[in-house]
Amino acid sequence: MDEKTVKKPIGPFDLIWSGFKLNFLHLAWNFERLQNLGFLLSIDNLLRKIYAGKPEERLAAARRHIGFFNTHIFFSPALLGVMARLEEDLPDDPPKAKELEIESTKMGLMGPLAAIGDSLFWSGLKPFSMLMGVGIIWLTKFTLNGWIWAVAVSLIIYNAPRVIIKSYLLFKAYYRYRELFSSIQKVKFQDIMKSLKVAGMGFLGAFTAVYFRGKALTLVGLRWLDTLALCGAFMVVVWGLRSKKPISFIFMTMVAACIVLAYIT
Amino acid sequence: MAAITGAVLELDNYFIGMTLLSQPIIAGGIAGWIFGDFFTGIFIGSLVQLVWISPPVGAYVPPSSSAIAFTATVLCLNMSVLFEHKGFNSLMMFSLIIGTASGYFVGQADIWNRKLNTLILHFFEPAILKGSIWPVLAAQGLAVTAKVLRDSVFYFVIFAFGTGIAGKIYFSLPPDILKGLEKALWVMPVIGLAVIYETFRTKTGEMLHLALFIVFYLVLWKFRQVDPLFFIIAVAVACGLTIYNFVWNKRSS
Repeated sequence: MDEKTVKKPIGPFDLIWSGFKLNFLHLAWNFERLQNLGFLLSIDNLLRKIYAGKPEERLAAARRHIGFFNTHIFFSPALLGVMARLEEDLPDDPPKAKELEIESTKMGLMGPLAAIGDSLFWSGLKPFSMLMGVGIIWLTKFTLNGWIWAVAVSLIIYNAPRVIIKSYLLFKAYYRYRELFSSIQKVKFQDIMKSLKVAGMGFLGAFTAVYFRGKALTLVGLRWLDTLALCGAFMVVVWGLRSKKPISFIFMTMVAACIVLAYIT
Repeated sequence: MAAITGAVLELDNYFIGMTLLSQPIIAGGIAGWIFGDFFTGIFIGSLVQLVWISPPVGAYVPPSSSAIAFTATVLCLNMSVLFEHKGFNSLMMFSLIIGTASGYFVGQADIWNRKLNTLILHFFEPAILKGSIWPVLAAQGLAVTAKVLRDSVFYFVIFAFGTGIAGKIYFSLPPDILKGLEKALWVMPVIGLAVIYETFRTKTGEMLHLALFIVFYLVLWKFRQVDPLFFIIAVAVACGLTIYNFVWNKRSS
């Protein structure tokens, strides 16, 4: 049957409401089944529509979705859409087969979506947007106007893709769930990530120059000596990070080194 | 008010939305605005932002960077008013150290909250399996209430009682340590810059980083000041050209 022509019990507003509730996915995050309660809360209104007049089947579905659930919060709409669609399309009989199919699909999707989300948002967009924010604050010399611009720019860089990806995945996963993975595969995540990293490094280089030329803080008062000392400190920290030293360790070591330096000089 | 604001901001850090509204540059600015010194708030916020910019991946619970920025800003401003202190840099660094400890505590306390959430899940599960949505809502509500209450109490204790104790410790420190703290504040952004450098490091990126650093260092050396908008557009164009040539164009050819 054509996916478009079938009359669905779930409308766009039901999906939007469910998608909105995914913002609370982490609210009752627990070490046993991770995001299960948040996911159950999000899918509940869809299950009520799908199993209207079938309380036993709805209970069985609720039991399925209170189980382990863990994926990236911004890619969870994809799972929500696919799960709703499978709940709707798969025959209720035999129940074991339906449960197995839904469970295995869920388990198969959670990992890859979490991996894409982690690398795109946590390792890419978040540090990039915050770097832009800090850079603008430095450039505008810590003024209120600069801060407002910094906050606006960093929130837009991060949240615009967040909202677009969430909405796209939610609708695509429900209405065209068979095409979901081929659509995701077409997106060149590797190149996007590489582009973000290169752009991040470019801005970092320029912002580093702004900091090094800034007058806010000095070590010895001589510009060239300060720059050399900063370069040295930068290389030491990079070496520490490459040696897998925790940031807190590096931070405290630097503080201790500065105190020792103050005693010596 | 500061304690409740801090606790509410903490929710965005992981529990609701994750829109980045709780990030240190914003949390520091809000704390600075509440206590009437905006500059200190965003200065501390931007330092913390750089150092703790790394992502929380998977089930790992990192220290709360917003708690670090918020606590450090509030403590610094409170101590400066309470003890009428003018030498600000060492006080900022001292507050940052206490803020860092509190950020780790909030991160650790999040682990306790997640353990509590497991108990909450077990408590409500039988009722949930009877088909009602109310137990799910109750479990979520209880989890978030526990989190907000815990953070509010923590911030209140730190701000109300911690300021006096921290102030007394700070003013008993020998001058050499204060000088050392001042130098440490100077080195803080370098830690942040190195953290981001390691996060974004690629071969092409390293070359671009070096090139733009040299160009902008010379430009700033010559002209002392650049228009921020011009600066961002110039860097964006350089990045765009590099990405087009070395990431996308290379692949398609």
